[in-house]
Parts: sequence; C-alpha cells; structure tokens
Amino acid sequence: MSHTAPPDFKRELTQVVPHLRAFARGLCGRADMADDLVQETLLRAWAARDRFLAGTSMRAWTFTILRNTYLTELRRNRFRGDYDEAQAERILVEPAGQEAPLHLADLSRALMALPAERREALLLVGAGGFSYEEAAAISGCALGTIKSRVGRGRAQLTAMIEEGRLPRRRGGTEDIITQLGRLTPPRKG
Amino acid sequence: MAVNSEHNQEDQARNHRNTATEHPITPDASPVETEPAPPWASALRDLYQQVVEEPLPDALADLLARLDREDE
Repeated sequence: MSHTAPPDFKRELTQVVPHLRAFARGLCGRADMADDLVQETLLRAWAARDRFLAGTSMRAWTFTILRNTYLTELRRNRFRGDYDEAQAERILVEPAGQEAPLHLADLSRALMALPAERREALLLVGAGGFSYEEAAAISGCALGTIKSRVGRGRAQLTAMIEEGRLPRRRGGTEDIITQLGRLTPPRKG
Repeated sequence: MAVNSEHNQEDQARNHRNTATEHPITPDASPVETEPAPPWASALRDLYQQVVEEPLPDALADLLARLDREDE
C-alpha cells in the first residue's frame, strides 16, 4: 500500500486549494485559467504524493508545483489568450462594501503590469505571507534574488499607484509571455 | 576574591547578553517586514484573501473527490 497516501495528505491538500486558487489568479490574472492551473496542480501533486515529506509545508510544496505548471503550460501556449483586463477587474474586485473597490481594481491592474518575476515575488511574500526563504525555494532562486524582486516590485507598485502612472488598458498577455524568458525555468522532477 | 569572582561572573553574563543581542539566535532568518508597509500592502493581502474565501468551484470539489478513486 505504498501508493496510498496517508489521510493527512488528502486533508492537507484539500485545505490549500483556496490558497492555490488565490496564487494562480494573481499569477495569470484570469479566473478560468487560474482554476485550470489549480486542477492540473492537484493532479500533479496527487501523482507525486509519495514525494511529499510529512510535516513540511503543503502550501509551499503545492505552490512550487503550481508555479512550474504555470510556466510549462505557458510555454506550450496552452493558456495563451487575451488577457482581458475588464474581466480581471470584475473577478478580482468582488463587491467589497466600503473597502475602496477602486483601490483594489487599480492594484490588480498595476500588479499585472509588473514584470512576471516581481509579481510572483510580491504575491508570495506580500500576499501569501511566505518568508523570503520559502519564496526563494518556491521560485527556485537565491534568497538575495527574491529580496531584490520584492523590493523592486514594491517600489514599482508604489510609484504606479501613488503617482497615478497606471498602465493603459490594453496589452497584457504578450508582455507577460515575453517576460517569461526571465523567470527561472521550472525544476526537473 | 569572592566578590571579585562574582563580579566577573556578572561581567560575563552581561557580555553574553550583549552578544546575544548583537547576534540573534536565528541569523539565517530574514526579517519579513523591515520597511514600513506601503499603502497598498493591505489591499494586496485583500486581493489574495478574497479569492481564498470564495466557495470552491464544483469542478475542483469534484476533482478532489475523484482523487481517492483514481488510485493507480
């Protein structure tokens, strides 16, 4: 029964799904694409469950798989499509009561305009609450690199938002795909 | 002499404390928030948290339920 995952695995995997959805949506900016990514991630995680070390972070482990899946699928162009900003805003900005929905819309637009590796770093550290060490491990890069990406991403976001230099409304996917070349390639295995 | 040795022990203890302050116990751990949080920082967490709190789509719930049955 070596292929049967302990019950904990299934339970922990189930618990991280909402986080996988949030990370995926932040990465690709589209809800439908993000959930496809989560499905693929769950299948891969399940297939690799023998390699998960009990007691380590399921969230960090599955985020690594999701990130690698995202890069692989993008390179295969399977997820290529127009980045629909209006849709992204509708999706990202749920009716938020008094929570300044405009600010969130601006932020999501600015986030998608960041270079992919900075967006990823900010999502992991700023939104997901990972430590720099965990974020570096997930992104397959050095600690200093992730710190630098977070710092530059922060500065760029602040500039865009505070100075009102928000990106124009069109163009997204092409930029994102050209940026991919600069991301660390997915690790083998 | 007894006084002296007590004194030395105190000095040592103080030095030890100083050293401990200068070199935190976990030198490898990086501070997660050293700079003041930018104004959009909480909004970034909100964007993430909004998705976390959404109900799980049926497709994902179904997939989770299928995983156990798809054992090879």
